[in-house]
Amino acid sequence: MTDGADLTGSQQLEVLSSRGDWPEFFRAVRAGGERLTSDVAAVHSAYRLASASGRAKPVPGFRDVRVAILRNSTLEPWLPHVFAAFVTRGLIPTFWLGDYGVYEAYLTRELPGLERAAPEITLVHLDPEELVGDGALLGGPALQAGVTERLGRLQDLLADAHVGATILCNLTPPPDGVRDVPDSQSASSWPNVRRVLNATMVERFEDHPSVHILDLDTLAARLGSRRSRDARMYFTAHLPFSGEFMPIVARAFAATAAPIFQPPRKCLVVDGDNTLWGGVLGEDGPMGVKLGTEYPGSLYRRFQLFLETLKDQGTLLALNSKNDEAEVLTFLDSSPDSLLRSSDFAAHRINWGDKATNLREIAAELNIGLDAVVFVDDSAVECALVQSLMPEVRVRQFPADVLEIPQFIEQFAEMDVLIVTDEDRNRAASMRSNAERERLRTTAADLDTFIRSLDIRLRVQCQPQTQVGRVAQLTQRTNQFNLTTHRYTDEEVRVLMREALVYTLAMADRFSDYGTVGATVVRAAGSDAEIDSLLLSCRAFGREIELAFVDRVLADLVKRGVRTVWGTYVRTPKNAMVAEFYDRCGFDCVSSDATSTRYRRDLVHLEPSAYVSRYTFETEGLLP
Amino acid sequence: MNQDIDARLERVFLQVLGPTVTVEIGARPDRPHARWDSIAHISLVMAIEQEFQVLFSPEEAGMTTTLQALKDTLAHKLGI
Repeated sequence: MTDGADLTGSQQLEVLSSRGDWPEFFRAVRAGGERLTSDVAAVHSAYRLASASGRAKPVPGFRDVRVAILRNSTLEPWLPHVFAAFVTRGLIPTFWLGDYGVYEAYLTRELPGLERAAPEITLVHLDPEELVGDGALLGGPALQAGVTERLGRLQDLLADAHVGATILCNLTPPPDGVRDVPDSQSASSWPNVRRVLNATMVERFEDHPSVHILDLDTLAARLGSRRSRDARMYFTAHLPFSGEFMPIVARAFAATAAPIFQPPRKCLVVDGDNTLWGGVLGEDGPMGVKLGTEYPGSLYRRFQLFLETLKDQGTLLALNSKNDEAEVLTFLDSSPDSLLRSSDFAAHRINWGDKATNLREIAAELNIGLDAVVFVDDSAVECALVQSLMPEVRVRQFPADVLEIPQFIEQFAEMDVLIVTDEDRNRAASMRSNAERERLRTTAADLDTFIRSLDIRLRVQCQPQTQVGRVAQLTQRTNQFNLTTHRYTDEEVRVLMREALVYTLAMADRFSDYGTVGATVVRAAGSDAEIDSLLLSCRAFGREIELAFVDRVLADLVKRGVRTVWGTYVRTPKNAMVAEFYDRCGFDCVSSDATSTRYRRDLVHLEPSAYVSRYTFETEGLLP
Repeated sequence: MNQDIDARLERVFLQVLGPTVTVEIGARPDRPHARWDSIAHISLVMAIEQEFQVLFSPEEAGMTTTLQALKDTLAHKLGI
């Protein structure tokens, strides 16, 4: 129901759009959040105003995204909800909607439109009943063979389509009218065929770099399949989602799309008492806190399990607790009920100091920006303190009611990733081994001795197709050692590997294998080449491997006929550390202004640098 | 029809269809409007159902393609 506050909100949007104040307009839509996404009239208003704007300029703090939708049912009334859900995530979508039922023809290019739309994301939604017709009720081997073949063909097309990142909706539950008892007995009944098809879909695209699954089946199950579809709207207008389900699907679509364009936060800093466990360790003691397999400790254990899965996908965990350090570490390492051990945390500050200072120290220790941090604490006061002093940090207050913990986990989207790379899995171990390296550094006579003592092995690859996801991830996440800060999606990196030269750098040393830590994109044309991007993960700083990497890349460019290389340092608030990197690499500065510095290097008399001898090299795809 | 309901209905029209179309429809409430097409109709019905917490039957939704018909149906449903 729209109340007075909503009216004010819609009127505010009208005023902002009439003024052409689009930054404020989109900030207001984003602030509307979940409530706006669920308000049918309000989302239509926001969508209508934004669509009619004719806005040409990007909006600071938001990213424009071209979205294509392939479908076989009526989805137009759903688009305003998608618009609002995307804006809530910092994305401003413009839509291209394919005609009903001809999705294959768009993918095979028999029909024009999709290619011209140049989508960055393509959503494929197929209404199951439209897909299988009477088979939804009749079932049978012919249905099974037919629909399996049709979906297989679609998936083949999607696997090779260049339509941006593809989000494929799985198949929603059977319609009303399916006979539960007889259909349960037959492998070729639609309910059972549908389950197999959904499982096959996931298997097919599990490791695909740019096709991702949107699990409508689970969303419908959570809401209730009868409530997810409105029979009146379905049979009269072929609308596949009920009014209640529309915002849910829209939010899930936006949540799946967001990680394609926005890097996840790198570090989760958690409180101890009433967050990792129930109760206060210092008062209740290790035997008195609530943690284990029984309620309510089972809910805290579930949160620990969630943290463990985040760690396995590359999130750094850190502990920020007002407690006695020895007591907490002993509890974590000895409690049979604690899933997390002290070694699972890449950093910790357990003391009686204020949490904002602790958090700042943790970020410095891990060499990450505060905008890469999420802070979770049960105390409203601590949350407010951190938020007021560090607005870049995403603050999430842990629920006081333990029964709300599962929902808190479900809605925890800051660390969502679509693809987990080997580097992600090894990140925590790599951070831990950094401490051992630091000890070695302090005992080494000088930097050169230290680097040589690490026994560093470098692997330079050119056009490594297996690294598409990792290269995109590096461009999305790397802020400090990033010369131009160009951000690329997986699909864009795939295109770059066809149209330019993409080099990657992997590193291992005596302590750990870092995986791919650096990348550069070079656009070569005749005897000239332009370095489009050059970046290095912060985990690999301080070994001067970037100099050796550039050396190898330049040598390869010479073999490809390049005689002059151009590069630009584009200043950002975070990349001052590489302001003079090209100078160090022997480039000549040709021009400079407040925002960038332009460099040039003549490669005619290129000699290998002295840095190269410190490392063992392996190359792949470089010219011999 | 109750003035408050009229105002709320007009607000839904404004939000879904925009001011120009709403004014045109208001001027000829007993006539169908070209911009009030089948897709806009679905959105309008859903927005009105949410605003007034009512449900239109398929037959009611199919017949209410003018502002006057919509007002009459809504008044009937709300018992006004």
